[in-house]
Amino acid sequence: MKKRLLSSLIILVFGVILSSCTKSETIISVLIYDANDTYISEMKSDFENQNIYNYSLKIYDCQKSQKIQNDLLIKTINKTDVYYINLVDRDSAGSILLKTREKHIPVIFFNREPSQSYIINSNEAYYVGSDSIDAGKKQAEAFDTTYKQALTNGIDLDTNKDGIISTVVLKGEENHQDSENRTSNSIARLKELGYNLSDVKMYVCNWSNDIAYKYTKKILEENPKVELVLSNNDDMALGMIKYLEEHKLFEPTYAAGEYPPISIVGFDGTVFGQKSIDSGQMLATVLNDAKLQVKVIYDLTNKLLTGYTNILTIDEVEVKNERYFYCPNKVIIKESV
Amino acid sequence: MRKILIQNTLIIFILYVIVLSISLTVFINKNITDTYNSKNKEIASQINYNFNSYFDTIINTSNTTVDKLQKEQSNSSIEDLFELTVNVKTDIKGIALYDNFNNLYVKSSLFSLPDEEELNKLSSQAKLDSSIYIFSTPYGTLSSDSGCYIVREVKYYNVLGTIQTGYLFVDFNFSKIIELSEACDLGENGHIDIVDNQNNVVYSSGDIFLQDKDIIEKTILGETNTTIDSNRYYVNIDTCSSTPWRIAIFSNSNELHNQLVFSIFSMLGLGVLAIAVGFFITFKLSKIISSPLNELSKKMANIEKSHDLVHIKIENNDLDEIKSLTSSFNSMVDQIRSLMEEIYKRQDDLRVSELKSLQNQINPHFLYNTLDSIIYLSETNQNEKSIEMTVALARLFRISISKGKMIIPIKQEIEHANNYLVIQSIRYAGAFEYKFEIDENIGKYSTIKLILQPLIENAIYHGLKNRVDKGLLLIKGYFVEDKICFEIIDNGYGIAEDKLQDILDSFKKHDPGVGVGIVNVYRRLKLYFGDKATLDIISELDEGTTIKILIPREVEMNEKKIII
Repeated sequence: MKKRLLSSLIILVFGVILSSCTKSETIISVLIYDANDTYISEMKSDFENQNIYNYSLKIYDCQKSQKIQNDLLIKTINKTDVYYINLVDRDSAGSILLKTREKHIPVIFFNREPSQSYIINSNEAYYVGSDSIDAGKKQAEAFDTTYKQALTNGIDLDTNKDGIISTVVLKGEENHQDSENRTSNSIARLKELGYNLSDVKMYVCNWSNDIAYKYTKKILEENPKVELVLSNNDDMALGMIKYLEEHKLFEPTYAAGEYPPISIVGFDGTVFGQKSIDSGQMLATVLNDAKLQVKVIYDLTNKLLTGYTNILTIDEVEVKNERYFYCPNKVIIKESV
Repeated sequence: MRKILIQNTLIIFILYVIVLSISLTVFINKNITDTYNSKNKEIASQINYNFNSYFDTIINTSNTTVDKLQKEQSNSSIEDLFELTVNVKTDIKGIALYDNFNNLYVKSSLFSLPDEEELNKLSSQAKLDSSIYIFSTPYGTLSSDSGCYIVREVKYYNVLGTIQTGYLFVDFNFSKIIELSEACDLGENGHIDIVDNQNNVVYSSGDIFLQDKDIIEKTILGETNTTIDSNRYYVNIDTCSSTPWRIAIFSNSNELHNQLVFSIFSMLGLGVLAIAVGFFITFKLSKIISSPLNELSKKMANIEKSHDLVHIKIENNDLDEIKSLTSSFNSMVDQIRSLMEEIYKRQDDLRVSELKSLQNQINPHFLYNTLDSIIYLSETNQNEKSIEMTVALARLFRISISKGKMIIPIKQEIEHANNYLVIQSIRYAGAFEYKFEIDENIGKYSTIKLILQPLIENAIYHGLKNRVDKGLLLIKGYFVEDKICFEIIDNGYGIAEDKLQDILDSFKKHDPGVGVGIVNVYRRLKLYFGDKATLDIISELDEGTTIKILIPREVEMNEKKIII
């Protein structure tokens, strides 16, 4: 009896050792900024659905806290092969990279761009995302196209016809690369295209649908004649639209009924965003191609793990400084949906 | 016995104490450590929160300034903006705007100018990313007027109304940070280090940064424990929001270590104390139990050896069990003693009565009277009678002596009585007649010898000898239930009532002095058979006497029975 017990114990121990030795799977730890964010949660599904290399994917929600992200990093550092990090605090990239450099773990930042110096100075850090400068320009172009289109239908989106487009910006975040770039470039591009913009007021709504909803009253009070709202993302735009709808300010007043009274241009091209365009509420948006970005991230990972050449190239994507993979943006307006 | 008692008790007790001590120590230490660690974590996160809040405030103010800057159209309005901000926000010491070529454009009144090298370094860094703030290293950290620059590339309108790129320098109050650091209670030698991404010190509230640096480099982020200069520290490193810095909090955990050591030592001490007490108690207890027991067993052994039946008394004993043992033993000793005395007495009695009966057997008077009779018969040529008498005498003595045996078959006893009667009837010819009515089946049973003859002698001498007419003597022997009954019946004078009483009284007396035959027989019967034998005298004056003896029916009787 004792002998059997002993031998089965030995077999068990061996089995455990053996099974732990056969490490065939690559473990990817994904630290996302906020699982409640619409765009990010869509991206999360894309990660899960596009896992063609069958990596062992572990996704963690950092709940908008850099501390939580740091703690998760420490917790997972010994069982991670590659990190996909959606940075909470852009300045923390340096510290994070110091930690991952120790273990030679490559890090692919996505969606929230860290400062250049961090990525350049590390040889195992990459960024995949959309080109935010281009994003801003595309927002402007989206408005431009639609404006011109509306004119052909006899509708002037400059509702009070004073030659000035009264503009307001819903900003995602202060000191955020994408936020700043989209904001400043959309305004600059509109000016380039010849539009006369008013004194543009900025409202920081933290990328949030709820906050934008709450601020809308104040925004309307401070800007009663607002004609154009440039939103850094679809969620905030939709928050505003929700308020407008509830307060019955969104009845189309044109005969054709196809253009909303306030031109709202979003960014991301989320499912909700696109629906909103279909139903004629949001004027336009710009696609932040999550699916493409995820594909690029996976392809990049694959190249990294299977040995790589010094210059990485991936189709359809613009590579800057060998580390930045910018996926192109696409304008979405009603016709093209 | 004491050794085993002690050994077993102690082994179990020591094991118990050890297991208890160890598990308690482990448990308590774990609790202490957990409590301490979570307290440290709390403190660390609170400190981090405070720092983060402070920097967030600074950044927010700066952002607002940047936004407002873009709406100002003239230098003076820019200057006013700066002045206002500095006045309102106590955390901001000064603000300045430099142009694209690092020339000072506008500043607030109290702005302390950075040196050229720093200026160039900061603005070139700011140029790379216009959305973030570049942090300088703090200056004046030893004075109370410490400050630090954050720089950001901004857009503004110059005097000509064209938009320009420049650098906004915001000088914020670093003393506040120093105050925050020093206000934290991190224990003796506890301190805070602020480091940048090259692990260089931005600020340290302690003075051992060179040693801190090692652990900071190794850990980068998270928590750990370390020892520097024989001080133990709990270290927590986290990023500081909106800045490229990390905050490393060194909290003195000597107290923890000391507490742990203290708890281990006190557990040890308690354990040793418990064991010592255990030893003491065990020894004491075992002594209390074993020493009276030892004494008791020793004294019992003595009694066994010496056969000296004395009472045992145990000194220094408090145990009831031992007391009761001792008293039981003593009462047993008493019983033995009285039993033995009884034995001696019986033996004595027996010896004496044996002696007596032996004496009786060799009654000289009877002997030479009988011999005289034989001589007379011989001289008178009554040969037949002389032979009969001689033979009877010989047989009588043979049975009397019976090789010294006490027990003889009833058959022989009857024969003995018969021989006696033969002799006496010849001597006292015609004085009486005798008859035996004996159930022959009783013959094979046993009895003590010389019970019939003395009674017959009594009957003859006291009852029949001096009768005028012929006396009658009847000797019966028959079964009665499980007993055998002998009756010696005469029709003599009988026994006077007071004499009878005397006789009966003599039965009860223990002194063997009285040689009265009947008493002798009675005593011997009682000696041998105890209550199983009875002797009854029924007498009527002038009518006769019957003596009835009852003895148990025994085929084989143990001579040695009396000698227990």
